[in-house]
Amino acid sequence: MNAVVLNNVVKRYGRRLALNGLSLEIPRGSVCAMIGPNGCGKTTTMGVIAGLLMHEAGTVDVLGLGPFRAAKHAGHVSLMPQDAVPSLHVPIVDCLRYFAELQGLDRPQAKREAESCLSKVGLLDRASARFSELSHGMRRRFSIAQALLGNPKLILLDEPTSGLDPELVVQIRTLIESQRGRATLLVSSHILSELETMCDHAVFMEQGCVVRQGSMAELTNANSVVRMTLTHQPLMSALELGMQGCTLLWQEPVLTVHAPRSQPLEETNARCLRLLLEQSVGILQVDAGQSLEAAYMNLKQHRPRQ
Amino acid sequence: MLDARKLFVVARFELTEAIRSRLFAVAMSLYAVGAALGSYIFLKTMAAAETAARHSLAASMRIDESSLPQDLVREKALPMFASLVEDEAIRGELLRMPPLCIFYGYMTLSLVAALVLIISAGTIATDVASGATRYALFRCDRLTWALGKLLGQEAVLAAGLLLGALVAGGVGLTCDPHFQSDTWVWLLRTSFRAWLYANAYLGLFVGLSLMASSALQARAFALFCLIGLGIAHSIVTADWANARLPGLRYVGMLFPNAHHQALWSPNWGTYLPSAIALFVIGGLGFGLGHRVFRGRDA
Repeated sequence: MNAVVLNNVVKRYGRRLALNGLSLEIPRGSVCAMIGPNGCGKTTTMGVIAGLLMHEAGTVDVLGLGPFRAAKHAGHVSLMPQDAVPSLHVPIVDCLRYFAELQGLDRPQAKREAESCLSKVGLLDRASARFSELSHGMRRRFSIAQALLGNPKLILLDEPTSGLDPELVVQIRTLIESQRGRATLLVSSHILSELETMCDHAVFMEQGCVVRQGSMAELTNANSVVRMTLTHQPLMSALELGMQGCTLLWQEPVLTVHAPRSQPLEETNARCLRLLLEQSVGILQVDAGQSLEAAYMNLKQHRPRQ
Repeated sequence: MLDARKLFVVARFELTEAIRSRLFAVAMSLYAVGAALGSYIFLKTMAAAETAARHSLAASMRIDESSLPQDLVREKALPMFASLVEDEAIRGELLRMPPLCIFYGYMTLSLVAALVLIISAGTIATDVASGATRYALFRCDRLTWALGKLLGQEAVLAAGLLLGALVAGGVGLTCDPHFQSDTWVWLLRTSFRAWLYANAYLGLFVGLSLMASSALQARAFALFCLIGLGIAHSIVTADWANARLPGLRYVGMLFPNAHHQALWSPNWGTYLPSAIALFVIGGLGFGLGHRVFRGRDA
């Protein structure tokens, strides 16, 4: 069952084609990464899903209820927009209370929910501050807090960690991960290592289209590739001899082993580890699959430029 | 589908937000200062005219000033000005009103469209430009949100007009020795009429704001609309135009200016149709704006 299904969606801004027949499926309950270069249509896609942007063609289905309609979806879908100012004159806690009331909560519930969400993002001590008085990082946290109000079934997060310091990035990542299982999340970001740890699905986009989508395991070949971080380079000729049928790639300090699909990955892993230990090569880390970044770059390299 | 509870939530937030804004504070301060200064100058001018009239009348009639009526200008000069009004009921109403209320009412009705332009014309366009809509419109349908904003602005306007009435009344209380307590009631009544009149402009300007992409653009649209309405109303009600196109005068009913005078009438038969017409004009403006807004990107 999918939380979001977009089929051949077309969206133009004047003459510029922002979404060019985009088709997308986001499984219900997944944490899905949206990856692509600037201007590829990530924010537009989120806007179309949330009903903020009008598409010219194609079909949109959100939570199995058809295209976004406030009457059906309000309270079930939430969005963390990029660089949007909610209100300049009202304290942030009142802003959140207002949003919670709009989502259908009564006044006392909305107040509790607003304070709870501010607490989750560590902004409770700034509850009476206005949005204009917050730093960039605090604004991002406020934006995330409003997206978590109530119990949305679908949360769209547009670059939630951009411009944040490392400590905040970890906090926000933890917060997003805490939503796993409660809601479907669609997260766009340029930090692929971060998405790799947070997400279980990914969508690669380019020029308003989805060029590849699937589970993180599929996209990173987690069932056929092993990555080993080593202390030093092994003797590759000896290794290749012992790992027949596999493709080996050394890119200091990582050895990537591509196993044939017929061969169980555990077996490939065990064989390679034994050979490395025989060569007295220290093994610092073993990961299944290539990195998301490598998978993305691989796709970009093998895709003809349009 | 309109949601009454959300409508109230949006209107309440709009009122809270507007009242805390710098624009509201500046506009209201200017309006209050204007009301205070205008009322003060008017009362002083009235007092000076009264003194001058008493002096010259007593001198020309060779009588003592104390034998002249107490409120000479009001009793003798006001009926002269009121006789310029064709409608008998309105003329009677003007004669019953304290002069301060006539002055305040006239000034408010003349300036309220500009006040709406300054305070309310940019309201929705500001939210679209700042991205505030991207926080609200996935929680609430567009009609409820836009109508809530309109209602919030109506409350803002009512608060502003009430403030102006209180300031004018305060000036009257301190500077006018003949100030009567029923002046407060007349001032509130006048403010309510100005609010009714302003509703037409509010609906039109919010409608334009629903089509605009920035506050500046929305205010420019509103300014052109205000000027355009004034010019168009003058044309459709001009005798030369009606001589060529009989019935054109009735088109004039679609303009807020056409209902300016009827709002002074004590007769419900005159007053109510104009009040309804003003709401209809505002509603049409808002409706047209919403037609564009419901299909545009937010």
